[in-house]
Amino acid sequence: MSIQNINVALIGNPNTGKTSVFNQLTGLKQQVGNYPGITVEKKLGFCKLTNTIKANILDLPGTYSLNASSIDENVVIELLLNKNDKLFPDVAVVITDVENLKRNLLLFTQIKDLEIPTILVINMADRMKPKGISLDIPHLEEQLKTKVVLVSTRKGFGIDDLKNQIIDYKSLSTEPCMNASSIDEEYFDKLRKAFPNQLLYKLWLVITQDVNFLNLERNEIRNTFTKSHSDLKRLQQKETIKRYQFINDTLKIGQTIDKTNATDLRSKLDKVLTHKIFGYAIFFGILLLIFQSIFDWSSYPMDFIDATFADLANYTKNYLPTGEFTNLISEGIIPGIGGIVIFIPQIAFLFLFISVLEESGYMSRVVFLMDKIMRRYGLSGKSVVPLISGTACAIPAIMSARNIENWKERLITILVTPFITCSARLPVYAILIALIIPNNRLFGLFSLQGATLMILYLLGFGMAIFSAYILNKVLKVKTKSYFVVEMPNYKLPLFKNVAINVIEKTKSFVFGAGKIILAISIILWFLGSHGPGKDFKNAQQIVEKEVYTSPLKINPSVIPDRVSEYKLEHSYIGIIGKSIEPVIRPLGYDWKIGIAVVTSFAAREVFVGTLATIYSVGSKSDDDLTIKNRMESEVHDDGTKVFNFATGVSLLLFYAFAMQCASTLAITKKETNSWKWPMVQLIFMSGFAYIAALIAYQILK
Amino acid sequence: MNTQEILVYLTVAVALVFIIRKFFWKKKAKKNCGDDDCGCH
Repeated sequence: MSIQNINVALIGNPNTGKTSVFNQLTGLKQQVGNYPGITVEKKLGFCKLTNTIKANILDLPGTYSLNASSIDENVVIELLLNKNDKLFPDVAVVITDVENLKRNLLLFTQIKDLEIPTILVINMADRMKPKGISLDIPHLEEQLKTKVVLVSTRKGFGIDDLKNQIIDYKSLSTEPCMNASSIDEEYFDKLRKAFPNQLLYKLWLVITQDVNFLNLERNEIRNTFTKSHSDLKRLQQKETIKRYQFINDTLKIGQTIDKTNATDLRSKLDKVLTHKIFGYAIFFGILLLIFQSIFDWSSYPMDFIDATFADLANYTKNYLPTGEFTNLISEGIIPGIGGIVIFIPQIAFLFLFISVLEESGYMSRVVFLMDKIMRRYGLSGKSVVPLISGTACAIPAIMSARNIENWKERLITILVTPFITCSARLPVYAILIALIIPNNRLFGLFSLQGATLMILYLLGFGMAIFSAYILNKVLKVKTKSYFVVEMPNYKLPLFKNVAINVIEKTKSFVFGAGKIILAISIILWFLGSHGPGKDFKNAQQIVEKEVYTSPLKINPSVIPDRVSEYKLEHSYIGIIGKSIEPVIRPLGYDWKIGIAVVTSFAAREVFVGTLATIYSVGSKSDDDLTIKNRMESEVHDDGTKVFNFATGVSLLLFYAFAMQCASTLAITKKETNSWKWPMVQLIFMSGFAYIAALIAYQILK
Repeated sequence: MNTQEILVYLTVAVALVFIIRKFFWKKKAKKNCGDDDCGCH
């Protein structure tokens, strides 16, 4: 029995629910959100339609039309024009939103002109009744020369119907639903005669778009048929008007909206949430609530995890056979894993709130609200999406800047996004705040620690805006800019989508960063437990001699701890730390913190794991101390605390500004296609971080 | 060298290989336009 493979492309305007349909068809869990620009790359999934038919489902970035203005929109056009692409669709599924049908159908009519079998999905059909919308499906099918499927991914209906239509795709009409060439009959006739074997609309797209499917072909067409730029623009406008006339005529009969049945909560909410004073106040209040909750609610599971790992390390040490490998497990692996697992509650809470805001439709209002501010600093309202995504991780955030049309705005967004406090900074902030900020309440209500965390988030955002302002002045790139953003309807967040987002993001943090942290913890433990030369080997004798011959009459009970300290100092890692100490000493850091700063260049969250490993290796006491307790009890030779207020603030500022993430540099290189910009990021951010940390420490010490 | 020490060296070697692969291994560039590159990039 041979299996037939068919390619299905999901295409549509931004925020019409393509990824939700994709997830339902494939059973995958791609991130969805109720704001545009979530998908910036094509994603492939599979769906078994029957025993003999398997579909490759392709989720494409949202595009308003086939007149591309940004990189993610180009992805769609390149695929639809390139028949040689192995993913070229056998059937296109155009996803539309029942409440924005008129605008969404523009893209549909263009795809029909490419003569690809096309199915029209009207998504969010569960909203028809509350919005007073009724559709004449037979009329729509007749006019649009397609099959129409009503789908609601929220209520879970229509997907089986869609699968049946996909199976039956050969019966779909490939005839265009309108004649767009009537905008300039003479010109298009000449074009048709010159290339009789080519699709007319495909030729038109090659002439008007900066896309290609065969270099030679494009050059040939362009050389012969190119009009002046203004003529082409005029024709494109006429084409769009023509299409909208057709859509209007079709919807006059095909769609009726009874406004009296519709509840207009949306406009009332919009008025408040995008208000020039209340809008910002509400946004600020929501942020405050989020950061309070991250600290308050997470503290119980965090304390539990911390104590459990400390117990586990202690248990392993006492009950496994004595030896090097047991030491590696109890001093390297368990504290290393503990250093990452402990932050799961905080990260889960952060993503829970962000997912709820995205799902509810509020995030788009934030984009709209912030556009006015952003524009003053050389950014676009659309920069808010990468900036907000940056609270999770700068890497997908930088990729999501692809939906910014203007190159200068996109470049500035890419360069400043790493200032936004990502989830990798959260562990560093959390532990340092817990060490240096007392657990008191402001006005008996707000936790001081939560407020400090919020200040750090605002500091990151403020620095991103300030850098954007400077870059806007410095960069000499002239480009025009405009702002189009989808305003989705408010929705009750779907528990399933929120849960998927939270689980996936937390999982990717734990398994992505966790593997690196674990590997680094193992290497660090090795470097901290081994050393060159006689000093390391003879540590016991040297320390004993010092203690017994000292005129100060030191209690011999300190010998085990002193030996551990001495060994660590003369281990490989100690030598590395000591060699960088002159550079970091002015910031208030000792050589142990220096090692953590160096290792966390790979990824910021390694900082806590590194310190946990170093302090475990450096301590011979069998107390089941938690990471926080170990850091708290760390003292200099003169007895003063290592993690005092000045050092803590200095470290917080260093991590707020420094480019401590190798993966972000790599993605910036990929997105800008040059090493110049990641180097600018690295030098500017880390240089600024060093100066800020230096000033803070020197003032506060 | 006893068993525990051998296990330590093995674990450290695995960790080192993982880190090198993660940060220094050059991945093959992905083509975006199917097998027969359309030349659009």
